[in-house]
Amino acid sequence: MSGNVTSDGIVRLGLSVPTEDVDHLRAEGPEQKIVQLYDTLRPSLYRYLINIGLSPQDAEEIVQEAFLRLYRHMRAGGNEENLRGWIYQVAHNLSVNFHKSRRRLIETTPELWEQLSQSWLDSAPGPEEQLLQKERILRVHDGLSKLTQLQRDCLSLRVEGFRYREIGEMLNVGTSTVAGSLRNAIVRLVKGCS
Amino acid sequence: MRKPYSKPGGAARDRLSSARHLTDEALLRSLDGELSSKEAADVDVHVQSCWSCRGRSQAIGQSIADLVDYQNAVTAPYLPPPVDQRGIFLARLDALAVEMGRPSWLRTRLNEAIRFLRLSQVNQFAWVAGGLVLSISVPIFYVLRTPPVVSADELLSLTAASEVRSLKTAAEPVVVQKLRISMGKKTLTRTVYRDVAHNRTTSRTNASNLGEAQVRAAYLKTSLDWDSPLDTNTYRRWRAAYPANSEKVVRLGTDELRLETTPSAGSVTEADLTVRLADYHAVSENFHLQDHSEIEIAELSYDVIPFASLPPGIFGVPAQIAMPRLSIAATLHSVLPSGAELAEAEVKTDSVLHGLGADLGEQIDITTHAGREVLVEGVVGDDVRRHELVSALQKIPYTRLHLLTIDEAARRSSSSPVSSSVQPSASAGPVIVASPPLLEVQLGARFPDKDQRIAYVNQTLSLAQLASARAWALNRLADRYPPQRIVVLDDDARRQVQVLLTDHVSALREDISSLQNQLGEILSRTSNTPAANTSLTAPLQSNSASTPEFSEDWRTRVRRAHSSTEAVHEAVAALLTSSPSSDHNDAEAIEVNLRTSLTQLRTDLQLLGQDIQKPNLK
Repeated sequence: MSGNVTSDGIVRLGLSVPTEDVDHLRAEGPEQKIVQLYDTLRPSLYRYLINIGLSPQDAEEIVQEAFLRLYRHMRAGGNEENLRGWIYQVAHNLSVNFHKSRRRLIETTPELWEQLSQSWLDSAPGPEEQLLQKERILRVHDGLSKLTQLQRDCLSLRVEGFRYREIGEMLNVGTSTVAGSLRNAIVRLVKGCS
Repeated sequence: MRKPYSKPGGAARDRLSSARHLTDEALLRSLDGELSSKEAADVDVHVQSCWSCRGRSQAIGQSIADLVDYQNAVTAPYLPPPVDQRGIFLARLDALAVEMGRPSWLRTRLNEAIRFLRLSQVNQFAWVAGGLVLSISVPIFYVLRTPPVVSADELLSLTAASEVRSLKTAAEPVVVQKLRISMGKKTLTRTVYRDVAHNRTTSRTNASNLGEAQVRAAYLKTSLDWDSPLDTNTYRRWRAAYPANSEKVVRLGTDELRLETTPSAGSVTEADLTVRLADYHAVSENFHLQDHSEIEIAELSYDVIPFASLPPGIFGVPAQIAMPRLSIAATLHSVLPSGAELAEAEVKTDSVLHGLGADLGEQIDITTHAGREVLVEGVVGDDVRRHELVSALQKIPYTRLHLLTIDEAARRSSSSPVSSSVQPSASAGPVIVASPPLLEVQLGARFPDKDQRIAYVNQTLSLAQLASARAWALNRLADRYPPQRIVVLDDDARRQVQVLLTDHVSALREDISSLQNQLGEILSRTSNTPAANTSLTAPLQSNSASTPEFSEDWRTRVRRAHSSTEAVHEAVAALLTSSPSSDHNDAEAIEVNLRTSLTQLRTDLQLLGQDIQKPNLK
C-alpha cells in the first residue's frame, strides 16, 4: 500500500496527475468547490454505487456522506489532488458497510431482470439477434457471479476509467494484484462468452 | 508462414509472453494502455503478425464491451439520480459549514502554503509556458470578446427576468442564497432561504448574535431589506426611493457588468451591483455610506430548490421559539403622542407588516385608536406567526397589539375579532367546479397530459390570486393614507410610504407580467376568435381613448388598478374553471374583457409607478 491513511481511516491518494474536470476549482472556496464537485461527479458516482449493488437510497446516502467528508477533508487542508479518486475511494469504503448488512441489489430484484432482459431484446434487430443478446446478458451475469469480490471491484472501478495504480490504492492492494485480478476476471468472462 | 515472435527482453518478458504467444495479461494491459511505450510497441508488432493473439485480443475487447453494456443496462432504470436530493445535500452542507465555523486566519494561511508547495512540484517549465500563453491570449481574448454594455434600466430588467426564470426551475421554489457580508473587519456568512410562494424568509449565519446585529444595523442604514440582500428588486426599489444623481454601467472583464449608482439623497453615497454576463445574475453589491463605512455583499452560492426538499420546520420550529408575553397593551405610553408621531408609528407598522408579508390578505387591521395609539388587531394562523409579528411590532412606539390565533378566535365565538374589511380572494382556496372549463379545448390542445393541464390551471389561478392580494394591499394603503394624513408625515415617513407603494406596484407589475406570459400559452392559440385581436403582450397604447388622465390622484389609479385586477382574477377563474351555464359566446366575451382589463391595468400601473415616485407625495 503506497498511500497514507488519514484519521478517518481513509487512504489518502498521492497521485500526481489531477483530474482535469475538477482541477480548475482550486481557486474557489471550499463550499463552492464541494457543490461544483457534487454536480460534476455525482451522476457517475451514483451509477458506480448502483453497479456494485447498492439500492438507490443507499447510493444517494453514500454520495452525500462522501461529499460531506470531502468538505471536512478540504477544510482540514487535505490534499486536493485527484479529488475524483478520493471521493470514489471514500464512497467505496462506505459501501463496504452496506454490503456487509444488505444483499446485492441485482440478486434480489427479479423485476429488474425482466426489465433488463427486455431492454436488451428491444435493442436487437431480429429474432436471432434477440436470442444472441439474451445469451450474452446471461453469460455476463453468470460470469460476474463467479468472480471474487476483489475481481468485481477491480472491474467496476476500471469501467469508471481508473488506472491500475489508482484502483490498487483505492482497494489497498498492489498494482500487480489489480492486473492479475482484472486478467482473471476478463478471462473468465471471455470463456463464458466463447 | 507466420513470422516467429521475438520476445521482449528484460523483466517484462515473462509477464508479456508465454512460449510463442502473448499472455492474457499482456493483451489486457495493452488494451488498457498500461504498458510502457516499448512494451506496447512490441505487443502491437506481435498482434499484427499473430492471428491467434489478435483473435484473443478481440475476444477480450468484446468481453469488455459486453460488460460495459451490461452495466449500463443494469443502471439505466435508476438514472439519472433524483433531482430533489440536491437540495437536501446543500442543506446538510450548509449545516456542516455552520457547525465547523469559519477557519482561523492561521489555518487558512497554512492551508494555502501547503497547497502552494504541492503545486510547486509540478513541472516548472509547464508553469512558465502556461503563464506566457495566458499573458498573450488573455488580452487578445479580452479585445475579441467585448460584451455589450446596456443601460441601467435594461440591466436591472434583464437581471430581474433572470431571477424570475430561475424560479421556474422548481415547484414551490425556495431560493437558497449564501452570501458573504463584509463591513470593515467584520465578515459573516449568511444563508438566506426565501420561500417565494409563501413570502417567507429565514436565514442562518456563522456569526454570533452580536456580530450579526452589528452588521445588520449597518446594513439597515442603507434602507434596504435585510431579508432580501443582493436582490435585484430590492435594489430597484431602493433606487426608486432615492433617484440617482448619476448612474453608469461598466464592464468588468468579459464576464461581468457593474451598475454604479450615486443617489441624490439617503445615507448611501455610492452603490454598485455586479451582474454575471452569462445569465444576468446579480453576484455582488457594495454600499458606501455617509460615515465612510462600506458594506460588501458577495454571493457564494445560489440555488432554487423545491420546497418539499427542505428539512421540515426550516421556516420556524415552534418548540425552539420562546413565546413572548402577549399583553393586550404591549406598549403603553403615558404621554399622548402628537398626530405626526402617531402617523409615523402607523407607517412603521405598515412597513413591518409588509416586510413580514402580513399585508397580503392576512386578517390584520391597523387603526388609530382614540388619538393616542395605533391598534393592530386580527387573527393569525398560529403561535409561531403571532410571535413573529409581535416580536417585530412591539418596539414601535404608541402601538397596541391584539392578535389572536385561529384557535383562540374560534373559542371566542361570542365576539368577532376579525376585521370587517373585505379580504382579497388570495385567501380563498382554488375554485372547484364540476363542469368543464370554457377553454377546455385550448387547454386540451396545449396540454394533452392531464397532470400538466391541472398544474397549469393551478399555477395560473395562483398568479391571479397573488396579483389580487397585492392590489388589495395597495387599495388599503390608498384608503388609509388620504392627503390629510400624508401631509402630517415627515420626510422619512413619507418616503417609507413611497417605498411601500413602490414595492407593491413593482411586485404587482411583475405578477401581471407573469400572468400575461402564462395566459399567452393558451390565449395566443385562439386566434380565430374576435378576442385575439387584442394581443396580451401588446405595447401600451398611451394615446388610446381609455388612457386615464395624467393629473389623476394616485389613489384613484390604485382603486382602478384594484378593480382591474379583480376583473382579471374573475376572468381567469371563469375561463379556466367555468360555471354550469357558460357557453362558447361567454368565453369570447370574458376573454375580451380579460384582455381589456390587462391593458387597462398595465397602463394604470405604469402611470401609478410614476406618480408615487414623485418627490412630494401627496
